[in-house]
Amino acid sequence: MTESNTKAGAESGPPILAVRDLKKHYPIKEGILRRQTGTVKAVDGVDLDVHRGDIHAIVGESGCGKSTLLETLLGLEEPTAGTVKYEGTDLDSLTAREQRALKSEVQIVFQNPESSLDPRDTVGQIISEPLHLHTDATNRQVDARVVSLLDDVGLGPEYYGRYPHELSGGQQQRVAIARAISLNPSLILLDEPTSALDVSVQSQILKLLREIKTEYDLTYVMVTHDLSVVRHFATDVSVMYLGNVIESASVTDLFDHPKHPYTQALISAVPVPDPHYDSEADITLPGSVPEPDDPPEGCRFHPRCPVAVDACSEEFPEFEEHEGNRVRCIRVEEAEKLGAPGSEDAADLKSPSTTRPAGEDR
Amino acid sequence: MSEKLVEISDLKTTFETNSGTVEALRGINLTIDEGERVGLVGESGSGKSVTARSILQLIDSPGEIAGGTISFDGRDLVGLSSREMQRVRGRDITMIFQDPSMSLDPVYSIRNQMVEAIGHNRNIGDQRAEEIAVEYLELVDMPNPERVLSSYPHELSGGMKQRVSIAMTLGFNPDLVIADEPTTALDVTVQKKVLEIFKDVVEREDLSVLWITHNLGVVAEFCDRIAVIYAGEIVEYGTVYDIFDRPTHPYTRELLRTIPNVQRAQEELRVIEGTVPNMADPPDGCTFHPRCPDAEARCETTRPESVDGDHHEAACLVHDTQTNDRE
Amino acid sequence: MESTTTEIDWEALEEEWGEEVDEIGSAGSRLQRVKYFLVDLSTHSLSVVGAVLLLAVVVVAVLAPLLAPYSPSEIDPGAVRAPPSAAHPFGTDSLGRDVFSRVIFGSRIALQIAVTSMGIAFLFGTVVGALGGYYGENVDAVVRTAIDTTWAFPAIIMGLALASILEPNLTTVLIAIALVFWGVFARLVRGEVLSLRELDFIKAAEAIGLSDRKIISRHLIPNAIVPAFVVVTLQMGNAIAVAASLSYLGLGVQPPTPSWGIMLSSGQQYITSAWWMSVFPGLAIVVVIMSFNFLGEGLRDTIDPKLEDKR
Ligand SMILES: Nc1ncnc2c1ncn2[C@@H]1O[C@H](COP(=O)(O)OP(=O)(O)OP(=O)(O)O)[C@@H](O)[C@H]1O
Ligand SMILES: Nc1ncnc2c1ncn2[C@@H]1O[C@H](COP(=O)(O)OP(=O)(O)OP(=O)(O)O)[C@@H](O)[C@H]1O
Ligand SMILES: [Mg+2]
Ligand SMILES: [Mg+2]
Repeated sequence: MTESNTKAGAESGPPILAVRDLKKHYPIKEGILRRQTGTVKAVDGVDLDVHRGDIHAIVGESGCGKSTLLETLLGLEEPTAGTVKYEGTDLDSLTAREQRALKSEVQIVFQNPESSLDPRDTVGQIISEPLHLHTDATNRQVDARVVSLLDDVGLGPEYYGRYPHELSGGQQQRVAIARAISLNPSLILLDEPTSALDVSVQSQILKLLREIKTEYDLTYVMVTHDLSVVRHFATDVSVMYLGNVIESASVTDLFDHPKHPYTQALISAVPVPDPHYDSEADITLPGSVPEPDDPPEGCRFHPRCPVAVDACSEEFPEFEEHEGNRVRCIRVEEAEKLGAPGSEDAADLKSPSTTRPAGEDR
Repeated sequence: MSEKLVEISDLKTTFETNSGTVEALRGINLTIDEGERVGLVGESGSGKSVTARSILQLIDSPGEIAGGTISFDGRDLVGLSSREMQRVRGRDITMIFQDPSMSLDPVYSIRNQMVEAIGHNRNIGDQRAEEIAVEYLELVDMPNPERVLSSYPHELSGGMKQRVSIAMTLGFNPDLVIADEPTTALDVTVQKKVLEIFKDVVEREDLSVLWITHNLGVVAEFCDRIAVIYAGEIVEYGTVYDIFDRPTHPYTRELLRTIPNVQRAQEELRVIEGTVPNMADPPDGCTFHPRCPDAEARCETTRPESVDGDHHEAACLVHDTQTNDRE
Repeated sequence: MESTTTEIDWEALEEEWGEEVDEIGSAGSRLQRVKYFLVDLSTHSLSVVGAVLLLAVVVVAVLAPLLAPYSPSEIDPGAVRAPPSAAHPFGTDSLGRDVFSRVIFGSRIALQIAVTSMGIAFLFGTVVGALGGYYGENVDAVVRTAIDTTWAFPAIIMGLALASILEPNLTTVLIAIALVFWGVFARLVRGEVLSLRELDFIKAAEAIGLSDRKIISRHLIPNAIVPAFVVVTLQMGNAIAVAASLSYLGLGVQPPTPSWGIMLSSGQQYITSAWWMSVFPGLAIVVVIMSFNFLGEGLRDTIDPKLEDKR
């Protein structure tokens, strides 16, 4: 598993997923007449390249447009503007039938496990539905596949006949994951796939995802807010803020030297599993997330940025390369002086060294 | 000094399923003092949500509370009529559900739902209820409460829905809040804020909280005491310091060992070997013995005594909290 | 785009997991559910009363020729408007026909009307409501207008208007009642579908490539239909009432069919002298309506206790 996060030289060839200036805006409707009073710019100009074999993590504050991005990528939501290309093919140029065929290639795991499972279907029916739809295997073969998938996600055959409400939250999420991998798709979009899971099951699932990834040459795009998952699992990261990607880098680069001030604050806010740890020392962002219906002028982050200058409120900078990170910020040098937790001594401060890791102390 | 608000003793909850009777809770003892924040942690499927639903008497047939008592403010909740229970829910005890999209009704606007629920539980008019709704939405870091109020649940992001549930729940002004994985959909910066706010409100209004989570980082920051649950039993109970500094039960230690560290680069992700037992057919003796690194022969046959749930104690035949604490 | 999906080795899978698959068997999971459902339902005492009464009515309707001492049209000229006696337990009517036998045969008409008209209304309403809810926008606008139009007229006025345009007979009654009630189901199912549509499992179905038709029939309707079932039961009673009223007003089934409504209306003028002519059919109507309502309420509380607050 040591090769885990290193990229398998996948840079060559066209990206499996290429997103350009993607926008998804929703009208805000108010009052009894539901008249439009504004626009929510949920996704507002995202560029993203995902190469075959990548595990591309998308992180960002709640409500910054991550789920909307995934749903738009899959065509579940019509984009307002921009293009999405799968292996060079524009999603828009496909007929409905071709799009449906594509859907066995691209799968999604939704954020809320319970609501993504039909309450009237058993676990067996849920997982076998795509198999019946896209293959012509016999019932028994499909059932064998279902049982093996259940086993993969750590559930025994006794769960075959259960209904979603008879499962715990984590078990529901595992069923959703089993459904997503059932057809061996080539690209899986995962929306917070492990947030409902405890660390142990989470590790099991991540291991499983990694195994099937190597076995079947899969690519993942994964939304998560759990930075330790990103660190241990992903190969690349894009940090989103208010409908835009503001920093993009390989995992090692991002954690070793986060460039954008927002990225730094994000890394600093991870709760530390140690009751003695004094969280007052962390970087706390002033103010709250602005609304996507009224994004600030210039850099979206400047009103909360500790190192902002006047110029930041005038123009939203384009991507620039700094030590391998692609960053949309003009104050990278100043931001680095914030003493982000990426640097070595800060790491010592943050790591729960006062907690004798259980079991190791005897 | 502190009064006991909740005292659960020997709670057993079972479900009939196609594959037999699932013993989801197998005799749980737990106390929550007034103003205290208790964390309930354990692996997926260990019985955390069922504990929460049992306290609120939300176990539908074919499930049932097969035994035990849940005393709340001196009153046993088990066996209360559904009408009496309705008065307890919302006013005295409220719950933040694990999947927020299931607890919000998709056909009504957030305003409708919040105003009605807050108005009902606080016995106040719509206008006052709306003020409270706005106040709490602001508290949980929602930048534009107006837009949120006029939205329908599907128009909100996962984390926003979760914060709506938190705001609504706190807005009820209950005595006990049961929070089932309330911050799983929140990113770390928002989670941090919400935790701080939760702490503030809880301290200001002297609420008690049962905080269900698998995130030990959150527990360490937020809770006073921790109950570790495994396969429907509390295997260890103690203060946060007891649990983090002097974990006794091998399961607790394994659990702490699996915490990934953001700072340390890509080492192998740790797992607890084996899986949670099938609760329709739990193993004899100590339920953890098949996965336990320290298991002895007696662990396969003798069931350890369950913990009382009021001082540091582990349900283990091999290890003892007292010797551990003295070390 | 070329398919890159790795082939699944079905044979190997079957080989490896066959044993576990056999263990799953086809364990009657649906049956189990039905069993628990019935157990729950039986704790609701009113619905048990309703179910028993209803069962009795159905048995009576089926076995009518065996149970009724006379044919419903058999005239006994010697006993016109005779009070209840051993020979005629419910007395006789103006033509000397046995009221008891006519009430028994009347149950057939009543159930026939209720079941058929509600069946039509239910099917039509469910499909139309689901289409409106799923597609939204223009389709929904049409559906909503149609529903609102039927909604604007009280059921009985609507039935009256229709029955007076068309020739009064059984078919007309069936159509009239179906037209009156489809809107109830359409509205209900539309609302359910609207809310279900936003849940992720519908998106999930879309994401695996299911066609619209399959999404509607496999996922939307089965989830939306349960509350409609409850309402169908509750409305059966109303359908019978409307049918009876139409007959009562002479716009429904025509004499000499033994319809409870006709019997009620023709007996009404003799209410002081020959009360049995109208009281027994009236009672029959009340009993059937009541039993449908009891059962419906039981179903409602058992299926979804929340429904109560919503409507
Ligand atoms: N159907 C919709 N109609 C209107 N607004 C919407 C809709 N869907 C999403 N939004 C808005 O778009 C923004 C982004 O939502 P999205 O679900 O993508 O966030 P997210 O990044 O996934 O957040 P989280 O981490 O909380 O899940 C939010 O402000 C949300 O209210
Ligand atoms: N209605 C039910 N019918 C049958 N079994 C059930 C039911 N509800 C829960 N269970 C089972 O009881 C056990 C405990 O479930 P519970 O939901 O309490 O887990 P949890 O600790 O909350 O896990 P998670 O972290 O995954 O949410 C699980 O094995 C689950 O499958
Ligand atoms: Mg989301
Ligand atoms: Mg749970």
